Amino acid sequence: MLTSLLRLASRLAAIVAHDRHARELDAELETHKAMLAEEYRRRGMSVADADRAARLRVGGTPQLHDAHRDVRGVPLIEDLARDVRQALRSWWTQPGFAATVIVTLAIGIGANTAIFTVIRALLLTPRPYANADRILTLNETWPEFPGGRPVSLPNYRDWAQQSTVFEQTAAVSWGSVTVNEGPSTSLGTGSPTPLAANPPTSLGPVYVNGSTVSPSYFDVFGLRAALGRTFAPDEDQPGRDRVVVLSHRLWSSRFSADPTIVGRSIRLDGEPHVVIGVMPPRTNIEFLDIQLWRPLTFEVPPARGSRVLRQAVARLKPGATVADAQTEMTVLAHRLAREYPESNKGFGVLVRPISRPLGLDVEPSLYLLFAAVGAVLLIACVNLATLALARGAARTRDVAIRTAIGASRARLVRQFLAEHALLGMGGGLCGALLAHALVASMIRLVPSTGLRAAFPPDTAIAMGSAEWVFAIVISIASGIGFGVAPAMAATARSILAAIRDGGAAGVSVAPRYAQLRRTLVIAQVALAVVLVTGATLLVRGFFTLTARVESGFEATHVLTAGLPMPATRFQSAAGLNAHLDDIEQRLRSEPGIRDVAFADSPPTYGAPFLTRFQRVGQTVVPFMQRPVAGFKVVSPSYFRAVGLRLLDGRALTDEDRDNAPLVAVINQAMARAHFQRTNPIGERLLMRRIPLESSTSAAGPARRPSALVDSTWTIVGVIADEGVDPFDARVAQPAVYATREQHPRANLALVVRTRDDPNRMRETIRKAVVALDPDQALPDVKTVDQLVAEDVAPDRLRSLLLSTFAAIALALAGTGLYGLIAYAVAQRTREIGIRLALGATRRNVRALVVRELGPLVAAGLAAGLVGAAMVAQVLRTFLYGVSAADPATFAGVVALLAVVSLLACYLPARRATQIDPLDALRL
Amino acid sequence: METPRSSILQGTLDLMVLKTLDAMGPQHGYGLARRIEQISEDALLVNQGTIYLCLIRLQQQRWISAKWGVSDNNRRAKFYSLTKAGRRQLQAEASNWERLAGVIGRLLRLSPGV
Repeated sequence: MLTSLLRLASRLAAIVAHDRHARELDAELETHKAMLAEEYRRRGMSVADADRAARLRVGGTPQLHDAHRDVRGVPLIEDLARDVRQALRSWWTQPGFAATVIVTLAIGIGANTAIFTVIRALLLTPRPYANADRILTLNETWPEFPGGRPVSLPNYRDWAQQSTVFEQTAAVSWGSVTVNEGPSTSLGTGSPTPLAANPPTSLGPVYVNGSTVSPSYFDVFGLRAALGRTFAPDEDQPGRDRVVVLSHRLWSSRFSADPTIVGRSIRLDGEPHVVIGVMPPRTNIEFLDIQLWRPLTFEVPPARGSRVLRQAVARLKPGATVADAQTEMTVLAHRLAREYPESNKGFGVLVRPISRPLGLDVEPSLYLLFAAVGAVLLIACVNLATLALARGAARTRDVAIRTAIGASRARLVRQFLAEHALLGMGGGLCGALLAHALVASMIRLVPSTGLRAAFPPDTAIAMGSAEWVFAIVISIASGIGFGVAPAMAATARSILAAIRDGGAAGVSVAPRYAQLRRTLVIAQVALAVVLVTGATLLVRGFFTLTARVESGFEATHVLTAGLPMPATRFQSAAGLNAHLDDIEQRLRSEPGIRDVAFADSPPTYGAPFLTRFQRVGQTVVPFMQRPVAGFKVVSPSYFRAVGLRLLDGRALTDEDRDNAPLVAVINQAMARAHFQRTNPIGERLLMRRIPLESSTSAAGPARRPSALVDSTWTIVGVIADEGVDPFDARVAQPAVYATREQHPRANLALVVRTRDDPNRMRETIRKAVVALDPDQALPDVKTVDQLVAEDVAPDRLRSLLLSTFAAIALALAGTGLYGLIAYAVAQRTREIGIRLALGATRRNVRALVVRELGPLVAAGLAAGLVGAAMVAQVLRTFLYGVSAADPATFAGVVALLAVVSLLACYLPARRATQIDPLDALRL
Repeated sequence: METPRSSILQGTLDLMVLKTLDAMGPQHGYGLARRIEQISEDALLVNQGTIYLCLIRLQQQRWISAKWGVSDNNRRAKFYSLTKAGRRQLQAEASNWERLAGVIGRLLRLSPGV
């Protein structure tokens, strides 16, 4: 054992000291020959004879050197080193091949690695808490809406008490607030505080996303605070609930990572809250950008039918599975529906693992992308196999000579593979760099909402060591992959045949070689058809998406902003509306502003708040069985500001005040859905008014909900649907509009129509609003164009990416196809020369070429059509407005590729027939 | 072009080199080759150059060591000498061979039918 190790060490050392050893051996051999010659001379030979005899006796020096080197060093390493040097030298003289390979591989590998990075960041990054696979989210399913919806508190309490599969549960609701700095000076009266008594804070108010949660919330995740503590069990009681836990990011950015923050009082929505703890960094628990947590507190618990919790979270007992939980909760939901039919009938429970958040099914898109880039890489490899094949053929003579002087087939194949592996690594390196750039630009291109929300905010989407390993592995695999078959083929020929036929082009190929070539042609054509068809369909869908952004409003000069106001700020609706009037007046006085309005949600959001309604004159049904519609609270100027088309009757006006008869305007979807046969104008609806203090908003559920009473509303007008594109679910939803006087609502958004470019009015608007109330945060200042872009952003991004990859695939497929067929033809140059010399016309020769390759191309087209049809079915969901069996696309692609293939056959054939037959024969 | 050596012949050559160095002291390549030629009557070395393959192998296994020196006729040559480990190896190999020779001898002396 030891001797073997020693020997290995010596051998490795000898590789380095190669030259010295070679020189020493030379010296020794010289001495040896000299001494032997001397001996022969002593025996009587002449000097010349003695020398010659000595040389013969000692043996051939080159062979000896070779054998010595093999014994002395490690042949494998030395051969590899030599192969590498030779490969580099050949690339230096013929950069075309190497450059093509490296660029092709770089694109394929770069794209794959970039997508892999994104997939890993999004799907495979471990959650920051233990037992992530045992933590679930619980939502109710409403009879009208599949999927997870908000939960009612009494239902949650029953779940917590009656379930047996959970170790720990917690309820979660909204709780976004404006963060001010320092102690409060404003006391939440009906009127804003005078400017002098309330100096502007250094950082200004900021509106942050937050949650209100049960005290057990962090225990469900097993998380502890990094500073301070999390909630105590009694901190959800009124009076004890003015506490807050901050996220690490908020603490560092807003409070400068102040280590003494715990125990300090900060103002949230104007109310002092004591900071009791700060969470560790990167504790992104749910897929939302939650910056702080407050206790979920009710002074009066809400009714069972009022669903004010965003969701519940729970941790499974060890041994229980998600399926067990779903089964048990479904049974429980049925039981509750029987016990409380008024509020629970038709309502179920949806149980999901925490790592699969609602509404964020990006996985299919990602896997689709992965498949697309995988296909691109595959095409790239086929292309490269073609090139390698061509190159192998050109080096036939080279191979033959080497075999003749003793190289084994394994040795030759190894040389080919070494070169290809090297190319693979070169391509991989460039590809990794490309991936780096791709990932960086992808992050930049993704807007802040929309797709960005799909990534937990603290996700680092960057290339880590795993991605580098991935890139290296697939680059070496690709290199060897595309090299194996050509290498085997190139070295499969018998020496004699090669030397006899003179090597190089025009040789009648060995059967295996020709078979490989035929298969490659068919594969290339088929792949090309599949990819080009897929690409065309996607690109067409992409254009449909960007072109058909239909909306019911005209909104080129509209700017929106959030106006979050704490629920406790205004004791009465009158106070709130008066304040809004002040803001409106102040803004109208600005010269650049044409119109000012308020709405409970920006124009592209449709009507997210819902109501149940009863048509007066039809049989009255229990509340929970009444149909659902959106209920949007707006100021009368909203329709004008946004440019919503009035279709019938009248819009809302300033006369529709608090003491006037309750009126509403419905949208077209509502009219179509519920008033098909009658004219809606004049019809009446029974809907419940939610008093200001009872409403649930982004700030959280109402602490003191009161009973809701039906009111009668008269429909006075019909307007066009708000919404973005025909594929947006929000458009199809029926909606009812009421004025903010008749149905006051807090946290309305500001909507401003400007005279000129809305982007230039941002600062003006901000200053005007803050002048009235320095504590007013103004989040999400965006033009409607921006909102629209954000809305379609995920789809657009995906389409753009897919189309780009498809276009790359098209380019690769096209050039690969051309190259393959051109090479096949070039191979026969000698034969063509012979035929020409024997009297064939150029036309005959061209026809010959086409005749041979024609069936192959046809077979490829046929196979490709079948494959394309299958792929189109899979792509169905991503094709906007384009049928997955669109005959025009399929026919067009087949025609296009047939033309390309014919050209690829024809042009090289033409070139081959144009050279002098003598030259062809000589090659 | 020489045929590849069988490992038996290789081992024999190793043994001969070690023994020669043991008996005659430090030698250069030519001297060793001549000696082995004489003893084996040309059976072991088809051409003399191959002694160097054997020598480098023995060096790697640390059984012999090499040093440049001057030969009797004033030529610069590399001299090889036996190391302690080499001597031990030689003894082990020699006893192996003797034991093997004994066994085969006994085997060959067996008369048919026994």
